[in-house]
Amino acid sequence: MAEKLNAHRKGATAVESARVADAEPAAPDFARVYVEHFDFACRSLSLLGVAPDGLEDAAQDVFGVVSRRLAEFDGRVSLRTWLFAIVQRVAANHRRSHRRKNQRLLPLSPATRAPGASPEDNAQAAQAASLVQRFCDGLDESRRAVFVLALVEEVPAREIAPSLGVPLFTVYSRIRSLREQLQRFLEQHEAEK
Amino acid sequence: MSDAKLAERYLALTRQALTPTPAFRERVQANLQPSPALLGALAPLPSRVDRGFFRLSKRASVAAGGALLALGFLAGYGVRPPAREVPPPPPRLLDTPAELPALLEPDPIEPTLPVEAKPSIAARHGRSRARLGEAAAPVPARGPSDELALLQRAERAVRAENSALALMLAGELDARYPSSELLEERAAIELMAHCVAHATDARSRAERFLRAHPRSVYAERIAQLCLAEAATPASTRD
Repeated sequence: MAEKLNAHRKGATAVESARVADAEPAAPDFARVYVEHFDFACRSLSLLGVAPDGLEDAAQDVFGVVSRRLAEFDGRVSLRTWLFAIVQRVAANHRRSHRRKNQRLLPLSPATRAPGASPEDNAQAAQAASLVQRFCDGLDESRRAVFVLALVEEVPAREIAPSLGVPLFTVYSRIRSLREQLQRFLEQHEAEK
Repeated sequence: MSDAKLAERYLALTRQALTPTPAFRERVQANLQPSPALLGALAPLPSRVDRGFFRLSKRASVAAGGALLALGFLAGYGVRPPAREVPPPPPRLLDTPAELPALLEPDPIEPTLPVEAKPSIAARHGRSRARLGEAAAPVPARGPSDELALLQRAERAVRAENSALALMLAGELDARYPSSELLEERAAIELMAHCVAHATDARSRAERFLRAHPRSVYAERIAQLCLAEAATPASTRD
């Protein structure tokens, strides 16, 4: 399995190119989904409130569901937004079952600390992430989904709209509103420093 | 710096900070195990050799696993002060699969097909299934090390006083392994989860357990946790 996943990681670009060239939808393949979307799933889990000490279990849960349900993926929504729906449910379960305490104020966990970065860089990234997470915590569920997908993960609005069941215009409107809110939040923070 | 750039800089740093390391990715990958259901659905079944994940017989594996679980449990609880005074356990990320001895490691034969996470907690939530339009497919039971991993996870949840997670995992074990040689351990962990949650029937359940398993390695801890806790009025606890 590890070899297959590694091979997929190396060949991901080639696979994507071939898929674009063929212009035919490729059948979902777990290894490819894992390689291409693991980081996305973990970032989303964190932003949806899974504490660092629960991230490994939550990631396992997400890909456990993915492995069982991937055959049911019908392509009506994008793979990322389909995966995000699973991430949302797993995150909700973990939020209910884990006591968060003050995890947000901790430095980066070993799971996400960039190995090549300096301690100062890691600290700066952790501080920024903590602030963005705090902003994210203040959003309701649907706006939080738009925030994570559109602003953090840069998923196009046309992919987000069908997955959330809202009109495209509404998604654009929410993105603009969220960006303005985030800016105000960050400006306020910068002013207080 | 313009406002837009401020937000973009924070978002970029957030992406950087929350992106998992390759080591983390590999650790999660290592904890994923083959799903027979998916093997059947997406590709030809593996050979008999591929399906034999364990070198040891099931009975030997279960016995060794049970002993290790009990030893680990006692190590965790034997010297432990009352539950309320215990600091939270170390972060889960520091627990590695290396806790299991080599004899319980899966056979090195590499599965070539999709995989499934060991505990499928999310799949146990009917609401999640309904909202995802998922069918409630039965989860196939796998090898004893999978059961042991779930038990260890449940035990860690009890130790962290996370009774909800422990009970969910116990339910997962019941669904996957209705008959097992680790039922006593499972019952003990489930009971302690009830005690941690201050269930009203925790005391009576503990007494029944102790009558049924007077020589259980968990007896002393259950007596401490359940009988003492149940005797304490809820209003006096913090």
